[in-house]
Amino acid sequence: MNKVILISGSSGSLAVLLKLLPEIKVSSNNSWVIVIHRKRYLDSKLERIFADNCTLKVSEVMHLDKMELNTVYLAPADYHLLINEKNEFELDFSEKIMFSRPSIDVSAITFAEKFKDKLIFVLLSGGNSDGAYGAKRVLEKGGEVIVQSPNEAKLAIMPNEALKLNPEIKYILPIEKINNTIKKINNTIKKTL
Amino acid sequence: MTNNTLHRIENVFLSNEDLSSAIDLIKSLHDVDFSGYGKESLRRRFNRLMIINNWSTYYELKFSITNGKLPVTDILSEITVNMTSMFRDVNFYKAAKTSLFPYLETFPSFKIWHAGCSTGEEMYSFSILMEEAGLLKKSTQYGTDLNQEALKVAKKGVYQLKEMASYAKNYMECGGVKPFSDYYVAKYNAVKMLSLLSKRMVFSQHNLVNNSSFNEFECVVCRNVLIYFNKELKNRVLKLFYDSICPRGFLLLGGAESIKGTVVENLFEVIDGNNKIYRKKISYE
Repeated sequence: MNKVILISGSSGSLAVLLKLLPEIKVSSNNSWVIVIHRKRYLDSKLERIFADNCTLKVSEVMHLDKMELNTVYLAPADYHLLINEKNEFELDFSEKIMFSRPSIDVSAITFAEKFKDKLIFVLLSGGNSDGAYGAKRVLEKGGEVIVQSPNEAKLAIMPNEALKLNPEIKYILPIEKINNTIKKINNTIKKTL
Repeated sequence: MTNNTLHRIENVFLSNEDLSSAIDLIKSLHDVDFSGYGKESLRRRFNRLMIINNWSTYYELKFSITNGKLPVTDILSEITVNMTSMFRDVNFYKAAKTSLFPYLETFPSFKIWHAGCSTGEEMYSFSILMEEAGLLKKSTQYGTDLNQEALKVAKKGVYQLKEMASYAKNYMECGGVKPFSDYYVAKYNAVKMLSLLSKRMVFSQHNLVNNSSFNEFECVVCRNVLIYFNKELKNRVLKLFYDSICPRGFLLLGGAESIKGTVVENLFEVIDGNNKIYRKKISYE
């Protein structure tokens, strides 16, 4: 069962990602997309840092790149990341939302619309409420939402806001349990099919 | 718009049929063709248009387009994205200075086409850097856009004062040598860029979707325009640029745009892959 795993966060999420990425195995047969708030202007080495810490191919999205399996995609700084019906990424340089571009909500909502129950949305540490509304839409469309445990998150605002808006979120997890839970969700779906 | 209304952009959901039919309608009534635009970003723009006008159904959108309640200029202003800023992407401007400027220096006069120049911030950024490099006097910059309202702003060169702090910071990071405020006159909440900078600019409406080339240029700048197009239209536009650039001339694209996998992939040499600076190869055909 191929899934799309959208991992998002803001301030404090980078350290978490560097713990999560090395554990991702090719055998999982999923597509991974990382949408995090990051500074523009600076020549970002983020793609390389992630690639050095991950056995999967890591690729910063270019406009109209096609989403492939077993690849980790990184949303470029300063663009909203969308996905179209042909499974191609579209970039969008329209207004910032909640002072953010990429906006986590925008990606989560368009991904929920397209992938429905094949989407797992992981929300990490961050300093604003971006992602809370997106989480709501992911749940409505049958996807799963995992939130980093607020006690552990460097900035708890982002996970807390998501939980406030969506008290029904089942998975509130410390870092070391996130990857295993993604695997578990994959397996349960295999069984029910 | 507040955050709440912005969130509704993702809410009002036009079906694929509604979206196609709105595109057809605008094409037949106003002769503006959005069919080659990326579906998802276009859907968000239409949603935005509906929220701004307080429409909740596709019927209201269709009614307003058909009955001329919504002038075509308003449609274009809202559907096309006009976000731009001065010295956006410091690394890009630094790279342009080192790779493009020495080439421009070799000409007694040269032409640059800014395709999709929107409100002109990028052209003024070029003017400033070219002035400091002693190139401005030799230049002619052609700014074209689909949106005439945006072109009016570009022509005037009047911008909001509150933007200037971040532009000044970018300018300094690009290696600016003067106080940024030397390049404009401020009054109330606005600034006017010096006429020295706009003297050698020419503006005209041009639609990349169906208009053809209108001159030959030493350099074409088209940043964050191709991201709104689908593959076919992107190919068409890149071919149009190829036909408009003189042999060994430059093509400058936006950070997330690339010629990889397009019809012009082998016709340009990659000068700077990160900053998307390309150079036309000489063809011996």
